[in-house]
Amino acid sequence: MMTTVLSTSRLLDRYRSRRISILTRSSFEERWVKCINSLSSLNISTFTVFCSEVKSLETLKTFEDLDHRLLAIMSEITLPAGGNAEAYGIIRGAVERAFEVGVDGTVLIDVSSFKRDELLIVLSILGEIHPSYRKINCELLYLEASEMSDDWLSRNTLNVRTVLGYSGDPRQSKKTCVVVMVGHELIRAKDIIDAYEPSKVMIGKGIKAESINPELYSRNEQFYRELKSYYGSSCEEFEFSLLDPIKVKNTLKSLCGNSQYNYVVAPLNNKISCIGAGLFALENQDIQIGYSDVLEYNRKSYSVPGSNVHILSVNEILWVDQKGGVVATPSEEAPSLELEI
Amino acid sequence: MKKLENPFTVKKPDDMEPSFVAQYFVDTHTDFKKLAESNNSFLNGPRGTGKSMLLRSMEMTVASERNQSQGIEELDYLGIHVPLRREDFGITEIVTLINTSGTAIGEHLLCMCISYHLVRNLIELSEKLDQQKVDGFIKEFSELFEACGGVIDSELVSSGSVENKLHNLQVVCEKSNSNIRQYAKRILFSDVMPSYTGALCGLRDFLLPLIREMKFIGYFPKKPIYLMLDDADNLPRCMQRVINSWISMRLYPNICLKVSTQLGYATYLTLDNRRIESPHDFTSIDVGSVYTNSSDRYSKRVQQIVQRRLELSGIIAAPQEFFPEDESQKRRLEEIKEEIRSEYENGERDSLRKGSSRVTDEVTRYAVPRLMRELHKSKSSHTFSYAGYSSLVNLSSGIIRWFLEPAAQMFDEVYASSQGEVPRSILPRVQNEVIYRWSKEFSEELVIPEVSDIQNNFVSKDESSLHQIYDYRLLQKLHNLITALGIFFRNRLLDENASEQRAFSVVVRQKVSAELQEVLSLGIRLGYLQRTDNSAKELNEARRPRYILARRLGPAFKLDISGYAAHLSVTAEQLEIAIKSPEQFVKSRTRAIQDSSESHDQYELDLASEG
Repeated sequence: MMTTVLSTSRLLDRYRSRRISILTRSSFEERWVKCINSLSSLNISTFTVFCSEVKSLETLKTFEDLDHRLLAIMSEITLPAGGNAEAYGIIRGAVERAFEVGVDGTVLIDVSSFKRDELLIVLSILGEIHPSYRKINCELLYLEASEMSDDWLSRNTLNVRTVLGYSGDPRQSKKTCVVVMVGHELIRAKDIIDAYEPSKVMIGKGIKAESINPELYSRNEQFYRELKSYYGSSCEEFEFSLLDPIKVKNTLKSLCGNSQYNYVVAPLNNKISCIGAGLFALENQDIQIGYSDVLEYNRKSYSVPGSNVHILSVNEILWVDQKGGVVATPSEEAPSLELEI
Repeated sequence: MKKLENPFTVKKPDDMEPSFVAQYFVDTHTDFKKLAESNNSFLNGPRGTGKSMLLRSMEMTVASERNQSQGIEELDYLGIHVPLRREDFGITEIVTLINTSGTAIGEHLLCMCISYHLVRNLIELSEKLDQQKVDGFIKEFSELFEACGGVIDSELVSSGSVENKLHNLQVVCEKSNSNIRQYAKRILFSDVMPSYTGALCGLRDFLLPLIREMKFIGYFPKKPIYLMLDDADNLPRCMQRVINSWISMRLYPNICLKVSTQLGYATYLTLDNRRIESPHDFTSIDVGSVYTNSSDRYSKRVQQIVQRRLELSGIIAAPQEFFPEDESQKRRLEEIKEEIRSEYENGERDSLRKGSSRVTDEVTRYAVPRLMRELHKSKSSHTFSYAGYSSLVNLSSGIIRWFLEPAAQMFDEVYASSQGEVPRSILPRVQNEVIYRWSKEFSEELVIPEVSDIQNNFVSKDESSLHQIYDYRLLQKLHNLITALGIFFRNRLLDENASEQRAFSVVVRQKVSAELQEVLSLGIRLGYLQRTDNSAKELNEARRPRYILARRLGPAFKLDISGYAAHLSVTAEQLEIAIKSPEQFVKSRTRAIQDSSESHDQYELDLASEG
């Protein structure tokens, strides 16, 4: 799969000649603003920001950093907590409106600060979107974090549930296998596993070579080992890609092939690997995705934005394999796609 | 060399064959005699107390394996274990569908789940069954299912062996639930609400007649059927109300519902908003308090379980040998015991001290506290060892999983470094490290959310149960309470002048407020506290509730978790202080002792009830 990585300063060049619709998610994380601000001088058709029902002080502060041109055209849409049918309807409406940018335009969805369940809902909506929209170029933007808090990221699990649209097809005759893609949230991972009380546990960590920096890998490795220690030597291990969602999909496909099990996948690492899990579950409808709502995020020091944006073509990763899928061709003025760090 | 399976791995009861359960697992149901009575019951207890294993062992296929000399017709009841799993019922679309379209779908899902396991039991007994009568059962199933709007391919249930036909019935149950999930998904993606055209089976029109038909199958006596619904906390609230409605129908003695929960059951309301009550509609069995009230019984059970697991793994060792104590600490304790003995005999100790009249008693009560004070003075409290089989049993606080999980971690660590050699024991150092880590994790899980997050996150009580905690302000109060008690008991331990140095519980005088009760209930639900009722001192005095700190917290607060411990008598008002400010509670209690305003009888030794 062709993944493009650009620094935020190069994003402008990529989309300069296009009319774009932008969807993003506000957050206490600064990176939602950083990526979008770099596009502020472009020809923006619509700029939609999903928000929580109540904005924290840290989130309000990030709005102060939003480019005034974006503020002027911003459309805020409130999402209810809990990833329920109401949230689904709201996201779907916003996504479909974004596609009204037309075949000459581009839909950009900055997924950097989406909650994972919301991101998966966006993915399922894109997977079901009308075939006529698939001629439009649609890209997911993901801004790396250069640092994550070395203290904690989230705590106090509220509940464990499935993500809307990813209920799977659990059968009474099958045992349960939970597949956890560990990130930096140990207790959240443990709570999900404990809630399902599976017969089998598979615990995965990100590939070392793909980690942004050694510190992040080291923490991931530490949490991975700690989680494994809870469930003993019987749990299986695996590694997954942090940069390529198609590779993640294929990894999960190779792991989840035993017909004796109902598989529940819990993606808890970065958004790219979460997208990979979503792609896998959309292709294999018997896969359930488990998610935990948490009460509290470490809003004060969750992450530090990096400089590199990963660009994923929805046309390539999602639509090309589906019926009626078309790979949209970028306009000729667009710069060539190349890996640039 | 073949890798040895960890003997202490916690296994899922549902995954085990009946013969395996019957042969290798310790029968604990005699500890819960009420559960075997012909009525409806709720079996409540924190995760890991062995509820699922207990219910599985009561299933008729397991009972039949265990009593091979007897036929099924000699069983007292026919138990059907029905695990209610998170992945089957914790589906967001389904919860939304039931909440918007009514509970008929929820009832159908439950009926299909129960029917699946009912048929599973028939399959396991198929060799003993009369083929003609099973065919009658299958025919009845098909007719009832079709009468409820379902469709069955008659070919699948009319040809082939008995076992084959029964398997096909299971497939019908699975597919029916799968259809509902698909329907719930389609509603999501459609602009127009599609009609549901599948089966809708309920208790009265499907399950009850099916169960009646099952009883006519050969070898089945006219005995009650026990439907054992395991982990009902995994059901959304709306489906719990379906179960409550079933309970309210009082179908016993023919059909008894045995419902297990992890103390997260959200409601006792029926579908028509009546409330089911104990003891009229059901009996309530608290697994935690059965073992809390009888530590000897629990210790015996653990001994049996651990012994059997070691034998299964080919490890020839008694549990006490496999989990040895720290020898140097043991020696020092013996020395201290001798010192106390000789102090008593030389009249150096206050023999009039209330509650203590025998040397042995003095030694038992004061040896470990003295050692802990010694270590504290030399700033080496962290070196106190909790290793040893008895210690691990005490630390598990009546929850068998709390023995098995750390034991499994210990085994893994030792086996990993043994180069394939089968461990014959776990070094005290390894035991201690795992225990400290495990205790610390438990205490740290109780984290206090920031107030602003509590205000910003709203979890509606109308949403599913699924073990949710609705009011996170209670967490903060619980954290304060546990901290207050932990620090106070530690201070007590370090006070050589205290009459009862080892306290691990509180008895609450006066009526507690609703808020304090919620905090205490949350503590019980999360496993930080256990509750039992203290004996009334006076004839006319009611039994007062006693709240025991989970011994698992002992290492985190550096407490003596062994044997007998006193309880502290507190007023509800004092606990109200504790839930707001642990520091204030500790100060006020300490001051009360120093001022001698606290009478000795506020500390009572409870010989019978602490293990």
